[in-house]
Amino acid sequence: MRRRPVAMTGSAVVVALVLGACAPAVPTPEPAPAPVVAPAALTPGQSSRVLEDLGTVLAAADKKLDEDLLDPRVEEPALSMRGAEYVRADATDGDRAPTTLPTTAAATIVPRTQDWPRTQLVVTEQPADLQAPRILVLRQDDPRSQYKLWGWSRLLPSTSMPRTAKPEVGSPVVAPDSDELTVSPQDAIDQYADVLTKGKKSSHDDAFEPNASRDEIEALRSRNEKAVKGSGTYDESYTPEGDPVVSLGTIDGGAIVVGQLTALAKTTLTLDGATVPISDKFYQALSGKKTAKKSFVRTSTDIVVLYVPRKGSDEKMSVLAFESVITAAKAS
Amino acid sequence: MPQRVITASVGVAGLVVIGLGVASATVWKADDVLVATAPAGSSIVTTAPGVLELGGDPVTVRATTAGGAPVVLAVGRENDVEGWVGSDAHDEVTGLSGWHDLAVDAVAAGSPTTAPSAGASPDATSSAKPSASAKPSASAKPSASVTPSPSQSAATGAAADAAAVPDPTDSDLWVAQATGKGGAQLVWPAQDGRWSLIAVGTGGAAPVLEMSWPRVVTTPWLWPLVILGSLMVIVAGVLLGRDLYRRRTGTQDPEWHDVTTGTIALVGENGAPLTRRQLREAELARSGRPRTGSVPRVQAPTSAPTPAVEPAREHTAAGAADTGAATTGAATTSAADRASQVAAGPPRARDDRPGAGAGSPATASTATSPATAPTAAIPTTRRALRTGAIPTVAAGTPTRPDDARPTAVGPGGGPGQGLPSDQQPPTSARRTVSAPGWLSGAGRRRVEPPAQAPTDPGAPDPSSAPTAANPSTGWTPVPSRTPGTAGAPGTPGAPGPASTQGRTNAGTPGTPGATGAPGGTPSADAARGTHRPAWLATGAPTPAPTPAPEAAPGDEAATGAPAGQAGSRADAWRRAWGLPAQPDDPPADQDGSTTEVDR
Repeated sequence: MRRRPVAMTGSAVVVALVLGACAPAVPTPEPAPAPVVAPAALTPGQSSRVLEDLGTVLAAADKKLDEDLLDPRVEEPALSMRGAEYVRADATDGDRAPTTLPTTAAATIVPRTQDWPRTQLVVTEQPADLQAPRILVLRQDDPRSQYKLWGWSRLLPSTSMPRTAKPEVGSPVVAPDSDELTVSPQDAIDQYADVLTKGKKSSHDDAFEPNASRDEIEALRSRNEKAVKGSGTYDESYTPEGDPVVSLGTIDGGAIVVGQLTALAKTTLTLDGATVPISDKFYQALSGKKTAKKSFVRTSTDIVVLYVPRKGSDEKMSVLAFESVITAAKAS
Repeated sequence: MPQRVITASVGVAGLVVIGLGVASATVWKADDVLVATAPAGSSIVTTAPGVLELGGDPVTVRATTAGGAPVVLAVGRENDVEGWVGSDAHDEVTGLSGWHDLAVDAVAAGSPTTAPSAGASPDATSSAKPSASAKPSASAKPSASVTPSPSQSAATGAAADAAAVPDPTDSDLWVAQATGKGGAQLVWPAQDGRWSLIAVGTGGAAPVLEMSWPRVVTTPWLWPLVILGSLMVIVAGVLLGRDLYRRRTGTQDPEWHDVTTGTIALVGENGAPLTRRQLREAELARSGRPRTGSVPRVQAPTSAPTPAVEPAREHTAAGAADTGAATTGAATTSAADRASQVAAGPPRARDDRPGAGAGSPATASTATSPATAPTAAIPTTRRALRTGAIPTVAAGTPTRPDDARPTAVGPGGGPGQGLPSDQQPPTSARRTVSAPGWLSGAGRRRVEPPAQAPTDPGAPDPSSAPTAANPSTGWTPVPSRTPGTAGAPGTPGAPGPASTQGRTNAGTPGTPGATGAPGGTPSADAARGTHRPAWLATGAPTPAPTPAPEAAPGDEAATGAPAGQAGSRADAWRRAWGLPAQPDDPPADQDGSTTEVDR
């Protein structure tokens, strides 16, 4: 009797072992190797989805000219820009409609990164009114927030975007202080701000290719200076707002740098009794006044997109896109 | 039997093997779909990269929550999922812990490096816990103020409004997403890259995660096992079938061993089986011993035996033994018991005679003419029995019980065949309805002896002698009718013995027995039956005792037997062969052998 149980258990164990040996092993996860280089932050599908969603939000907000509706997909500074445009549109009864922002991508420049914030650039199709294509800057500040429109810029005429990597691959993110470029992205923005502020007098004047926007700015400035001449002064200053929001490498080793500038156009009356009539309803709405007795200050938010060539290149920096939206006006 | 058992077990094993093969492809077949679940734990559950592609393609993920709480399923890059989860406490599925269980690794809050701020993590935990356990409504509000702050930058105010558990719904991070209340299902075809799943019970409920993959299931064991099992079954079936066929046909190999030869003695000893007639005969036999002792028979046998013997020798030692036994048996009526036994045997036969006669004769014939016995044994036996068997039988039986066993030997040559006949109804057994028992007994006895006989016969050993003697006894049963056989075998010579013994039957049987005695047999048998004892008593017994000893010693009882009656011849024969004359001892040995046999 003693032996039997032993034999039973023994045989049972043997059977169990045999059967167990026959059973295939439980599969184990075999993940793809971690990529050496960070993958594109967004798949094309995700990009288009973001754009589609953005388009929906913009359409809804544009329709009601309600800045609050932009919240889900638009953030500063675009939020302020768009808000000002709504004010402008509202003040002018729609004569000056908000900037058309197509949300159909002609090209997408996707960052290769695994960190936040993440910023992608979208070159849109040309709007129906044959305006210049826009460059939309979409930014995701943290993992739990969405990609939002950080800003947009207007592609300057006769410029072509440098070649960039496919969106599936993604473009490398260049650090603001990178020394692999002729000028670091941070310095590039600073220099261009200086150029815009000082014009020909800027030491960096020849660092940049001439461009239409700059010409336009200078033309406008000289006009304003003439207008005020004798009764006051006119000053324009451009100040970069923090670091460039994003710098994405191009195929030729350069970088596309996107930065924000704050432009102040200040008209100061020095002549007694002189006033500046604020005829523009938009300015009236912004400043709340119809005349400025001492000074009138316009604040515009500028989005500049620069191309900075790689280090050692003979190329000059160039401005790919520029957009300036007056977001505030103050009369006193 | 053991063979049958083995074959049967092989067949059963074959069936089992088939069953195993089929079961491996059905009951034990691996599931077509591998389903693994993770119990409810944290309200945020993620999977490690590779888990989604763990068991196949595509994976179907199902998340369910109790009470219809909203749940979100989403797939994103590993990095995105990790980034989204951030420092929140969550459960991470790292693989399979079993075929149906997902291995879950609980990650405490604050461990991830992606935590926006150090101070945030504790808050996150505090918020996560209440949300997980308590109802969303209650915990959500208090926690809401806390949670958002840590994980989300001030810039995104929208997220701040989220409940205790952040809502990943529609995040740009996800490549695939499914939402639902109480449950959600997501199918994810495998893609390149490292993808992770995230399941969030946005209401604070902990989702139960179930992942299922299609599996390619093979059944490699099915056909090999089925074929192997089939072969086993077929083999077993063929073997069993052959066995059955042989049984019915009677061609089955005799299994003498089981019969337990001991019966020989038993036949004589068993009072029960003995009929009154048998008893009477036994008594007669006993009383007749002296008579039997009387030689007259001897003469008869001598004449008959000689011829019989010679052929026997020629053919086989056993055969010779048989013949010799028969004769010797007649000659040596040393033991009264034997005689009685023998007598007993015959009586039964007599009773049965009509039928039994057939069976016994066969034996008789075999005994007498071993050569013929094997082949023509059956037919001849009947005839012989009917005809002149009686006398011989009487002679054989009365003489020595010991010899009776030997008879077995004699039979050995014939018996083997004879027995089968007994066993097998078709042949002689049917006819010998009552006889069977006896016959069978005899047969059995014979059987064993035969085994010995063949071997022994060649050797002069006492044992062989006994065997040889036995055959004669074996015959005895037969003999009852056999007496004729004695004649029969020697068809030519048989008449002689018969005549010597004074049996008309013998004379007639001898010849007719060979040919067509049957008609007359019954009466003749009856006569024999009655006569035998007397005859035995008178003729065979007496002479036997003396000569038997001498004869017995001889390798072949046959020689001895005849020798007993015709001592001169036997002696001459022995001399010719350089064999020493044997003392009476052999009988003792024979007894021993018989006992063995009985055993």
